[in-house]
Amino acid sequence: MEAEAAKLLAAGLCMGLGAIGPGIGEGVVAGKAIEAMSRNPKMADKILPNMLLGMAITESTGIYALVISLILLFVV
Amino acid sequence: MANIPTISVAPEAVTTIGDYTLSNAMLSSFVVFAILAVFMIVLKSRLKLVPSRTQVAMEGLLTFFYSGLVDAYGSERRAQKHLPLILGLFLFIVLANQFTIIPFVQSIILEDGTFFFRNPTAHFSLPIALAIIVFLVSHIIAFTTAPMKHIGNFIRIGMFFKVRSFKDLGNAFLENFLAILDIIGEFAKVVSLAARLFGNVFAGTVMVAVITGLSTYTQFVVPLPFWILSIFSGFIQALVFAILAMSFISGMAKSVE
Repeated sequence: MEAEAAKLLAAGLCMGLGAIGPGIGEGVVAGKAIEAMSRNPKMADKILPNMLLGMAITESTGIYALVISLILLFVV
Repeated sequence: MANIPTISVAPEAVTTIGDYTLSNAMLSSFVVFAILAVFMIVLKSRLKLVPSRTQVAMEGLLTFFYSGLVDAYGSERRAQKHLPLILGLFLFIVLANQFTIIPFVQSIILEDGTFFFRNPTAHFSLPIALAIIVFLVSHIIAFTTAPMKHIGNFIRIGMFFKVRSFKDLGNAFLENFLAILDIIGEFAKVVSLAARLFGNVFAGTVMVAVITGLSTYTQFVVPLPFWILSIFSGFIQALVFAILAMSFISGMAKSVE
């Protein structure tokens, strides 16, 4: 395999596999938050920012995969 | 086929001053800093008892971070001391993330085709510098409050002197191993804090550039949702950076109390 092809393949695989975990995680966060909101609608205003924060932190592993694949594509 | 513009992680050099290269990301961060400074000076000179709309917004922001800090520290004096750092980080990152949506900023292109301005946080140096500032501040605060205790949190050789039985020896080894993991974790914090901000902002830029460059028809309306997404994630990431900085500093300060 040529080096260029391997690089592209690696970047795609890295991003695709790296997106699985955060996808599941964010789904769990959103699901639980909506569960809590529907149980106690008064708390919805307080839950929403916490949910977004939790999602942004859950997302970070996906972002690492993104950074790695960007490095593979544009730097290496 | 597709006319996707060249995407580079490293910022393009605009000009050189002596031996020093001035990149477009750095230039934009200076501009962001100037905008923020002028905005704050104007706002401060117009403070009134009956607040204007901008003043209400800024006071709301300040109260939000202040109450968060008071919750995190448990003391108002300390919260007041660290509020400028956290709020400064937040305002700077918010403005830096949204810098390229200011009209015509992206239209200034030099003769050789490089952009004159570029999103400052889309260059890895700025997020990592901000993360290192947070790292240093948290450690310096902990070190000046209780130096020996702070070092003791990371190097737990003292456990070996308390060994009385075989079980204690195992515990001492475990504690020291965990301390090494803690040291690695401290550096991982810097990388994760920086990579999160950089990744989100740079991904937003790349996504819009790719969608715009796909074909002639996707230049006008199609990138709009992606712009909105990247603006939204810019705000969220600034908030996350500030809140994580807050929790790192307060956690480090609490660990030596």
